[in-house]
Amino acid sequence: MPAGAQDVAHLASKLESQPFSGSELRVLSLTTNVETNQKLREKLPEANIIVFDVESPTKEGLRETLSHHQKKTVFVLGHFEKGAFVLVNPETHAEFSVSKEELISMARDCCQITIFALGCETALSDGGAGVVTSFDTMDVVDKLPELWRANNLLDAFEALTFGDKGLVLVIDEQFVTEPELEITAVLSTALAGGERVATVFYAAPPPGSEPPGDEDKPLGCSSLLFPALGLVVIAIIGGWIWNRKKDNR
Amino acid sequence: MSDERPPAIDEIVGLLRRHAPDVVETFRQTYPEHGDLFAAGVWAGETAAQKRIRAEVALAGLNRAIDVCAAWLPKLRQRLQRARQWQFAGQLAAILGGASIFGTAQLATPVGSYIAASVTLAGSLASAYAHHLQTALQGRAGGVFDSYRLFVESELEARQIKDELVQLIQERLINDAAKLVRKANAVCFRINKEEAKI
Repeated sequence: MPAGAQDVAHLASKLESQPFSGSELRVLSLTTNVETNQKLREKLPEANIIVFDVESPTKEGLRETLSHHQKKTVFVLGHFEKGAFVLVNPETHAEFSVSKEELISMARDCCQITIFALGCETALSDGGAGVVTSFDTMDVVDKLPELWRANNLLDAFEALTFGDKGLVLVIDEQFVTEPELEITAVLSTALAGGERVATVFYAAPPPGSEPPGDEDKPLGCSSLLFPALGLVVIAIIGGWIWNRKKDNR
Repeated sequence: MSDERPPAIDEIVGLLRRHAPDVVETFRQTYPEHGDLFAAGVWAGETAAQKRIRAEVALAGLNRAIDVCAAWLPKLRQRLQRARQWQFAGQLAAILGGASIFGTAQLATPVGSYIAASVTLAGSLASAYAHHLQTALQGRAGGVFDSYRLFVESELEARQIKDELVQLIQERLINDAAKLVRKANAVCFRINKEEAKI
């Protein structure tokens, strides 16, 4: 059964209330892009960046690297296609890929790490936590410092949805320390006239489930993105009307 | 390696963004529907093949890469020359400081020992400064020399790829350009990494 509004509110309140510290967050770059990695080093605290050899990556190396960051929440940034992070060495053209599913289970099994996959449409490959939209890595790097200014994990996720290049995210109960229900929610922020109008936080079907009465339809773009965009559009129009009324007063 | 994957151009675009942002802007305006190809970092998902656009971007990037390398070479050469001069001065001062003539002078007058010590000290300082000039760019021995070599090799490679790419474009053989675009991206990757260090 899809989560209801009450369940979503429950997830939001848990993310808001559980103990949170920026020192528990890490960023792992799975891209060789020089500009992205340089900006990451400039913008984020050194201790929060996971150093990984992206030019000669191996799964063993990745596991070993992750093992130094036990029990952390790791935001993995990289090029994502067909359900996997893909790294192509620009010089040797050697290709390395690790599927989202494999990465999540590797991190969980070896090191009790919770992964948030920051790649294009990572939420659409399996309906689990991730990004619904597509983006330029540099736009996300610009937003990442906000994670360390957040008061709680919900604020941290919300920060990634702000701005004109804000992401639409799917988050779920894996980020809650003591999960009780399988809840998945879509998080999106609407802006009007440069001002934040609303953060939309609503239920999405749990990972792996299918919308009732539509068994043949896989969980994907239409089931998550369109409702999110609909709500964003409504919020923008509402914000615009509200701004107009405010100006007329 | 997957032959189906379009060749990446993120490092070419990165180099152009730093050294010729107007060129990237022109590309963006010419191909507004393919803005993902001109990402400031790298597009975090699949992008359209667009072989012609990628070849055009590669050509523009190679032209700029040649200029960038050419601009770095005299700066690094000057630095290496200065380092050599200071090294020579340091060695000369060290030899002079230890020369027996100062031993003789020291016997005649106490000022001689001060002069000998000062010359030796100047020699050590000159050697240290020479070492600093050679390594300051990257904090490792041979740093400037390695950079110099990288820019020389990259300029040569960029010229070679450019000539081949121009020929393919003129002969309308864009389908064969993917390999050259990959090579162009690799050259720009090396240049970008080096510039990020220095």
